[in-house]
Amino acid sequence: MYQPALHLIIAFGETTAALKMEACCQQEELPGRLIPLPQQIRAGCGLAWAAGPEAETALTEMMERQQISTQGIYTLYY
Amino acid sequence: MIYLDNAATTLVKPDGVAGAVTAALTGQGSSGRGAYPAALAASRSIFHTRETLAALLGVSDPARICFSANVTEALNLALNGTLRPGDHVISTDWEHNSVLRPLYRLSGQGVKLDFVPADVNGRLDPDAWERLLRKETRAVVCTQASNLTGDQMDLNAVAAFCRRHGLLLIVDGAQGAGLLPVNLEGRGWPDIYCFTGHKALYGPQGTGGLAIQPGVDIRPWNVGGSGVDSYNEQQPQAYPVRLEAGTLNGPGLAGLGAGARYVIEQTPRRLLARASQLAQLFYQQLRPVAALRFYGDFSHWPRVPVVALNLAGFDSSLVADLLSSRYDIAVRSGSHCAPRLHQALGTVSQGALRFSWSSFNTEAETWQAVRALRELAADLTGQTGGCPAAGDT
Repeated sequence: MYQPALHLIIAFGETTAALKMEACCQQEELPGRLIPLPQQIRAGCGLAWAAGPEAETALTEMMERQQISTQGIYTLYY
Repeated sequence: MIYLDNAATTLVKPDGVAGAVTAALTGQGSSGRGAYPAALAASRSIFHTRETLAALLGVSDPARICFSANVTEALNLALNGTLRPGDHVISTDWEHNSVLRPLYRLSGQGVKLDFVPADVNGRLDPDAWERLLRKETRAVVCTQASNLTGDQMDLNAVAAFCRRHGLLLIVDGAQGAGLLPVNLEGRGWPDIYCFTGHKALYGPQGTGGLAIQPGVDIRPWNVGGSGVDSYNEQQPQAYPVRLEAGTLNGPGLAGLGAGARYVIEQTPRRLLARASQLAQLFYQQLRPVAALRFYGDFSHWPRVPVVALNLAGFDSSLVADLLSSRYDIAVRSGSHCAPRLHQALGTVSQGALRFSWSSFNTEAETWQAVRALRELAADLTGQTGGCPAAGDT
């Protein structure tokens, strides 16, 4: 049975930022993966980064360092 | 992977497409930019693709096939090159952003817009066309088939409406080219047919174009290098160079030629039948599953092989992610760049899942998708996903 789990979801304004996120996370061995943008965050299309909520500090610090722009960081059951 | 996102791009291409791209990339110069063998090879290759598209789309003069980077660019060329401030345009709620955004931008420049509305089932109001007509109406722009539901536009009726009122008919053939019959000169419509190369024409991404009726005047958008008439300060007026400033995508167009020749050999009718049969199997097997809601008109087959659905109230992106991560099935979720139709269907906040087939998909793949959705329906809703039908193995 599918059980929604608490996730940290990072939304991006466009695909290039999402792919930079993936590249930087791989380089720095940070957790998470690309998923389709959840519609509960924003209706439409696009990619988002999903990781466990415990990774928030490490991910946001890396994003600031790498100047990755986001359209929002959410914690939600998904 | 089971790839069911062919309405976005076809992943499996016929034999010959990749080889044609490689041959152009490794052995051809720049088309129209010289008379030495490598440049002439590029010119001949692109001309051959032009002839192939002309034959497929019912255009007698290959010069009236103009190439572009994709159907969006083709539509921008068509709309910006024919409409002027003060003109009125009728379009529909089925349109993709490739039509909508150029129209919205033109509306900021004085072009007036109206849309034939779709109801909650996605059906267009057939009486709206006449109702929306004004004395300044200049053109109709519409899709050949919805990229969200696969429903086909009744282009015979739309063309008759345009003929009655002397309107230009511009068709977005993104989902139709290679599957649905097109015969510009045989039928006398549409005036401009915009196509993409990388979907059911099986070419590479980065290819597309316009097929243009004799006598239709499209003002150039890009101007620049043409390989001819270099001391003319204006873009040459003859098609196709009128709409083709700059170096063309020679390798991509060589691949498009190979893909389109495959379509001609197989015939669009047969390719549609093959892919539509798989979509029909999928729809008929899953229709009894109470948790699934389908969008579109499934009363006529064959139809463009697209099936849009939602699983109960679940976020379409979540279901797409589960299909990918658990079953390795690739489908599209979200809004499909079709905002007006999602608004009509009431699916803005949920989006929708879109499954789309090509003639290279198989029955076995389709059965796997059926089983995966049944399982997911049962898993997510806690209910059984419908009775397996006879023949379901």
